[in-house]
Amino acid sequence: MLTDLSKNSKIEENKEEVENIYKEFKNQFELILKKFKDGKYLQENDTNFMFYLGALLNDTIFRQQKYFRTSGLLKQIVPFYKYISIEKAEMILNICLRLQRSISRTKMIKTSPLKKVAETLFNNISEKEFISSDEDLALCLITGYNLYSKAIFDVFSKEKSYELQYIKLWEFSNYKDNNSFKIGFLIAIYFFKIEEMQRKFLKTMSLLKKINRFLRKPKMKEAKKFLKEINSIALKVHSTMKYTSNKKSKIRNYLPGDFIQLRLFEYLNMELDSDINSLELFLGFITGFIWRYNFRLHKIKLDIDPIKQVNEPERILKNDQIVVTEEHFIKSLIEKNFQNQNAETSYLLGILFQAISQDEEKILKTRSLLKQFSFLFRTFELKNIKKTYLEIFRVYIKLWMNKVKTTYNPKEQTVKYFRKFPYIGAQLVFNFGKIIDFVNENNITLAFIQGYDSFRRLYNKLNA
Amino acid sequence: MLINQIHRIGQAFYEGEQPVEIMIQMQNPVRSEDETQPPKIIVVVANITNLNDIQFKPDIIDYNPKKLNKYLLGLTSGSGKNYSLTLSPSWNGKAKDINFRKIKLISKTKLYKKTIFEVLREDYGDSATQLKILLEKVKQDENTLKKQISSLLKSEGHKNFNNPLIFKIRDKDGEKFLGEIPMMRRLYEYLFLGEMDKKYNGAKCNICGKTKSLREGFNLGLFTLDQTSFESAFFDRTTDFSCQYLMCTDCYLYTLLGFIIIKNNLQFFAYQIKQGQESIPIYHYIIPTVRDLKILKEQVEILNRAKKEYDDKEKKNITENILSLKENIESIKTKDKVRTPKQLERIKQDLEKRKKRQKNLLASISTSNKFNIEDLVINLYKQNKLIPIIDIYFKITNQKLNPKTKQIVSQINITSENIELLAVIFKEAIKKLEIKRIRLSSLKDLLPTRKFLHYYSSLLSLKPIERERYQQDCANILKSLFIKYINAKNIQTKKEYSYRKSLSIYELYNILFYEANLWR
Repeated sequence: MLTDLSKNSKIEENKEEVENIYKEFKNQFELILKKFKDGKYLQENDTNFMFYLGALLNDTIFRQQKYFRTSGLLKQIVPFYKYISIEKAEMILNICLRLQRSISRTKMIKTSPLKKVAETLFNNISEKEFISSDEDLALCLITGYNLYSKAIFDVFSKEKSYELQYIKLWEFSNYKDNNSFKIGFLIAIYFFKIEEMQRKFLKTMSLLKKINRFLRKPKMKEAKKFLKEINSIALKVHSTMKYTSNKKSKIRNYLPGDFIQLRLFEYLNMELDSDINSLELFLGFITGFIWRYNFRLHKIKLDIDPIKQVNEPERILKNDQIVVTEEHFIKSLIEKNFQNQNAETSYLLGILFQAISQDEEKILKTRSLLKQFSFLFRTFELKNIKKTYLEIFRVYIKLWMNKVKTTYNPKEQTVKYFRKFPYIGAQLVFNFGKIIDFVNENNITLAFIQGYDSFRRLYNKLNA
Repeated sequence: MLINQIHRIGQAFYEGEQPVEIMIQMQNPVRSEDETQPPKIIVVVANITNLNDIQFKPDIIDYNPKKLNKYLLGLTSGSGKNYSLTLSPSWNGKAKDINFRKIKLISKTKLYKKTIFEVLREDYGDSATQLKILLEKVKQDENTLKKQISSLLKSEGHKNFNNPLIFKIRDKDGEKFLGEIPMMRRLYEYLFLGEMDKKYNGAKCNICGKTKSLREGFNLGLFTLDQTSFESAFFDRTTDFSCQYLMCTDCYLYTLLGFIIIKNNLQFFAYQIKQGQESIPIYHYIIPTVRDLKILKEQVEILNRAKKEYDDKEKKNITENILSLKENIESIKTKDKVRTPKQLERIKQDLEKRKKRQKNLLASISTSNKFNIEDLVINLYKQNKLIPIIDIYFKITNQKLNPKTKQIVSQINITSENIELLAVIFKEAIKKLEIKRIRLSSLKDLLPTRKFLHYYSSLLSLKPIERERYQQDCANILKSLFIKYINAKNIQTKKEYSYRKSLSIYELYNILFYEANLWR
């Protein structure tokens, strides 16, 4: 989102025009807000107020940067954000109003039209009406903030439109109408983007610890808490000097990853918390993780299965022995010629399971995957197959975190990522979408065991 | 188990006989001390034309083994209460020695909570009352009868007499042995089989496992530990094993028949032991262990035929005895093998039919790629891949086969063409998998033996197989092995639960069935 001062230089010339543009911002913001009218968040008074508070916050930051060339406001507000209540909301409101007034006094410009709305809304709410949970309030505040920055973007560049590329993926993987999958997917992309930013600008890794709790219980309640943490880090990143004063000529009032956050809010608003399927939520989270780290969307074709786009296997030597790569595994699958797609998926799952469980024992020195597995394998149906997939990737993400922590170099800002079998992981999600029901259970279990055994066979075959 | 086999032999020879006829065969034949003269028995003729005045007349006659049916001599080894209809007078010149106790006991026996006469009256009417009166008369005139018999024996010039004493009845129709009267045969049956529906709580038949109509079984000196409800008690005074083998009546009759057949036809003389002046002969039984009833019957008959050419008294060594028996059996088999031209024609026709069927089957599998089987075997042997073909080859030629596999292999007609085509399939299978040194027979590890035999025979005879069922049979075992393997912490325990061998065998079979279109 570009809002250059040079572009907006006309604003300074005529004060009436400037005030008109601010009005336009407000109108645009309310227009967008109306779209969410049917959802659950706009029904209550307290959440409704939080949207306007967020927008007002954005407006004051915009003005502070524009007229004072400073950006200290967010730093004051970040500590309040963590546990929002009536008193803290009032404090934020007061801080914003004080700044608005001081700007209008010094620069002879009218205060924002949002100011009146926010004040009246707050006065009408009694203490008893603050019912919504801490997480919901925080979410509404941030979305209000991001909606206002979107309104500014829309006003300056009416022709351009910005869309997430990843949305294409849902159409091909048969998760078009599944909102819980989409929410999980977007949480993953949002999280990994903010996490990178944190490492880069704050040089800390606190967000990595927060993910553990979500991995243990991938439910909506935990997901919301997790989202709040991500949002607070996003605010923190924005408040640092390096991020804002990288190029002094630009005003930067938008948060990192704001488009993803808005999209996420769209689906959260539509669904009730109880309707969200935690299994599919986590499945979405994992697919988001895979796609973010392994594929460039312009390189891979989405309408063809990811497995079929793999090249011929290369010969890589390590300690005078040929390494078994992902391409070898996929080639072995094609040679196997399974008649069922069910058997094919479980074969792939077997391969993944073997590789990840071995790495877990070697690197993390735990056996959590194996313990869970023997329980799941007893009745190997579609539901349990999905669960094993999730268990595998739960360990996978732990391995990824471990690698990030151990290889992080704060001076050079470099990190190595844990990558293994991205094509297989992506293909499995595609298959899960297509499979309707498992008929023959025996067929699947045997294919799984074959997949598990395929590493040893390929290794012996290549290094014979 | 011995008693099961005896039961099976009885089953093979049973042809709808009544229980009495089986039990009569169980009677001990009477033997004389002088081999030149026929043995003798005492007969007491009871005149019952006038029931108020019954008269007895003892007599001594020659024993005729052909009339054994009529005598009703009584079982030598039967149930515990052996109330015989005949008496065995161990007479040494005194009238006291003759004992009528057994006959007195008959009137006291009860069946289904009734006296035996009441039970018989339901079927035979007044003749049961006649019997009752007769037995009471015997009680009354006991002492006079004894004196009559001993005086008769003295006059004939006997000093000892150990052979049995039989009754004969004179009616309006004439003189009759007891075996000729249907009511007496029935009485005989009741006396030795007893109450049919005895109930033992929680007990089962030793052979078939039934819980209904159990009875105390078989008095044979066999000791086992693997039968159900077998009591391994040793008795102080008696040698009665009857209460140890609980059986249902059907099984009892079968085993009885089997025991008779073994005793009469399969008993062979082994050697003699000297005990003081006497020499006691020692016998051995030869019992075929085949389970199939038809073949068992054939084998028993062959053994019986071989026994006729076998001299009991010449040989004194067991091994020599058995060798001579073996020669006899082989000579009989060679005689049987010479077939009549009609039989030969039939066999030829059958063969041609079978060949035609197999050709049609094989043509559907594959038609091209013919080559020498020897070259293939040598090639594969050089590559150190000992393939399943050799396994099949061994299976066919090896003499140490199980009787059951032999049975199956003998049913299948394997020609050289058949094996060649199989070889083609095997070769393709080996190309696809890296299988080294796996024998087909190790599928036994994967499947229980009965199922294994099913698949093995279907592979050889190219019968169709249901794919899903095969997977089902393999999956459960592989699954449990796999979980054990994964949860094992040491390398040693992992080796124990290795699923790999069985998995590769599964794949081999899978491909064999797949390529050869054996799936139904």
